[in-house]
Amino acid sequence: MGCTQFKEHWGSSADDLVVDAVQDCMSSLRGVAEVNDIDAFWVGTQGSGMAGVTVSRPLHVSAPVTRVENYCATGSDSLRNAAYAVASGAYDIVMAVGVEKLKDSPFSGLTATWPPSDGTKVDWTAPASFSLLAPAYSKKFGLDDETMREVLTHIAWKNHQNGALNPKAQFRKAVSKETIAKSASIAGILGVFDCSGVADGAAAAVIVRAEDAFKYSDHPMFIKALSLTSGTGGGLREVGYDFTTFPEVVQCAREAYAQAGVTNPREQISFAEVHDCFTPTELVLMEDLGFSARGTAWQDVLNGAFDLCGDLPVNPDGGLKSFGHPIGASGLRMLYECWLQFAGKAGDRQLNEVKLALTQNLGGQPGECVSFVSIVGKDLG
Amino acid sequence: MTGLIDIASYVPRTFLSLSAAAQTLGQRGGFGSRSVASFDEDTTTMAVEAVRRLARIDPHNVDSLWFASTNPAYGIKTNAAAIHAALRMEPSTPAFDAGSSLRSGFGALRAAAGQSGIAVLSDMWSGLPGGEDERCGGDAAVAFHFGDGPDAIAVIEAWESLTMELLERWGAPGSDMQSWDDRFGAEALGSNLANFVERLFSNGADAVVLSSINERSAAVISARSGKAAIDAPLGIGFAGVADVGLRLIGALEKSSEGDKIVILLVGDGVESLVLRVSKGISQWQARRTSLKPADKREVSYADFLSWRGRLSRQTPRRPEPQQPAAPPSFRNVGWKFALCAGRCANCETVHAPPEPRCRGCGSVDSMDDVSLSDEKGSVVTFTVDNLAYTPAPPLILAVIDFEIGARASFEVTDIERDELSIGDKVEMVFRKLNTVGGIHNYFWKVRPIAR
Repeated sequence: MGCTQFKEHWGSSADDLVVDAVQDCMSSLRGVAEVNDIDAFWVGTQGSGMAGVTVSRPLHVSAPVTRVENYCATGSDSLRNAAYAVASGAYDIVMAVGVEKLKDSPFSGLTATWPPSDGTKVDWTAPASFSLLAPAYSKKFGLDDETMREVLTHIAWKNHQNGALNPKAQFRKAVSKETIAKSASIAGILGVFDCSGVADGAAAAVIVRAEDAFKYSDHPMFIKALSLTSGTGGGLREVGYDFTTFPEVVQCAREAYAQAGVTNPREQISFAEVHDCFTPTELVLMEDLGFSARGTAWQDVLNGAFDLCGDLPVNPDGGLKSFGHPIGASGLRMLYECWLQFAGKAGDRQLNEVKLALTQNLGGQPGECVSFVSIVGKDLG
Repeated sequence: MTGLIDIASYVPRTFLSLSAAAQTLGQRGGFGSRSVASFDEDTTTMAVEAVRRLARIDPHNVDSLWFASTNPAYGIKTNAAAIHAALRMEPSTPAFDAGSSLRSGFGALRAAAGQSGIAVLSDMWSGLPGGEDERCGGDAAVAFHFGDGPDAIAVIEAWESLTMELLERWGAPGSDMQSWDDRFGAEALGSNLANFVERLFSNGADAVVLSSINERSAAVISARSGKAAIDAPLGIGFAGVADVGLRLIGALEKSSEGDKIVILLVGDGVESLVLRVSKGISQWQARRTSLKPADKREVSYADFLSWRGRLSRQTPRRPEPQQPAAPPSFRNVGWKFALCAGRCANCETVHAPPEPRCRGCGSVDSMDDVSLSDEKGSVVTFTVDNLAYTPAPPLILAVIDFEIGARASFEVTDIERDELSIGDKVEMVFRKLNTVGGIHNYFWKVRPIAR
């Protein structure tokens, strides 16, 4: 696998980032000299390139290339499709690349170009749509505003602590809880530090059949489960959804656990990389993924269960929060951290006795979203 | 005999304190307030709200719709068509814009009365900062429903006209008005009146409704009629073409069956309508509601200037909204203009907006129209978005459940950021989300129900 630094790459284009990530990835392999040896490519990007030429042009290959887009789960989905292509026997060695150049746009936050419409859809921002989770969770589980603020602050603080240990992260300074809690509101209860960084970056993965893995690397990572759920959008259009969960994640995780034979996630998952686009998202995901019982994740957060030195470290690499969120690359970046941890190359963030990891990549908004879950492991068996 | 079946006004909840405005400009005085259309209102949206307040109208049975304003949202394109769509009127009902002069309101009344229809007079009246038009102006809309019927509020006895070509006040639609000398206007009018006023009042009158942008002309008329005209309603201001309607409502609120009301509109001469109050008056008076002080919202002078396009302010770094595209707006005209949801003919599941495939039973193309515009909703959750593009930050949005079993998301309007709670009841209001590339994006928003 390979990954560029995530940051404001004013001096790099999407082409530059693709080349850098692919070079980083290729240099971690043996038995594969050039990109021409790769049978097929999947490129994930939300808005930084159209069609397969997004990678075939900068890499100077003539090869099958599929462009993938699935909101913020784009990077993960590019890998999922690449993996199925290998599993189907169609190809022997494939590559998934994710790339995003968000900072070429002058705007704050994420933007998207929608198809022409009748103008009736409320044009709210991502922070606004995810800010809906916090009051709903508080109301349902009896938290007062101060406690919810503490919980969200802890999540942001933890991820910044982890990012400070990560040379490739966008934000590499720890941030105090006071600073986090005091920052001006972007939307609802969410301040600047509750929102993930907007960054440029790219990441890449080479996938082969499991039985061939050691031909290419001393420390391959094994895929135990891949699951994707694109939802009905019923949360925003049908009475009933209460904004304290992502049903798409629950379904997606259930399928992934079944594929991997995981029956007790809290015990069996060594660490997880989840989609902390905003702090309340990570809170809710702990319950949707079965790491905490419904209504109790907030206590686990405050008790440090998901801290780097906790029971089940979540986002050891800093997460979207401090690593940054170049949309097309994030899903692959999550898997990159898993790969580093299993290889013993996670530096100051290195966890011990890691066996199984989970990545969760979310796109869309509460009520209408797309969820990806993968389970990966150090060993073949 | 054609009569006035119903009349209803819409006055925006927002007001500007005239002393606050004067203070900002370093002027003396300033007393009372004027009504202000919110940043998301225009003469079309106010007209829709006025027509919605007419009781007993069967949208499928309106013979004509007439719209007048000196500040129309569109030229060339028919503004009345948007009102027609919002009220789900029949395609066979003609809808016209009567014109954009102060007199056009009366033309609309004449046309609607002649064709048993609805006339809606809607205006936003203002002028250069610190000037009289800004200070004395107001924003409002009044809808008149004419027709035959035993329960009319008043019957029409006569129309009288005195048309004069006179350069008194002029300006392009929506622009700041220019005027000659008020003394000249009053003098010119007075010298042309002959017996016009005396004839109108020869049999007396119980109430006089007199609308005139030129106060000296109004005084001339009053002197000749020998009768004091009814005062303008407080706290609104001169609301352009709607002014005569607001004053008439004021007169009707105090009238009894049998009263003769003489209505006069001064502008390029004088137009007059004589009404005889009729049987339906007490029912109308009983139904009448007006804006409660508790629901009024003050706008700062700076925001007022921004809303009127006179003060550009720094906005967050967000892209301009995309303009509504014509084909989707046409396909979805029911949802966009009349908030028509789709109810499945097979299993009754309601979809807001309508969908090609039913979420309940999977039927395809099975949706019947069901309008949500008069439904009350309940707030499921909401948030304040400080980052989003909006003409008046911040953007407040809510997910709303309707009792009918539908859910949809809307902007919340007419509130401050901390005034909403989960579970609050809201009503639907017709507003303009934004204007991009000269295209007005109309749709519905929610606001808390009046206290």
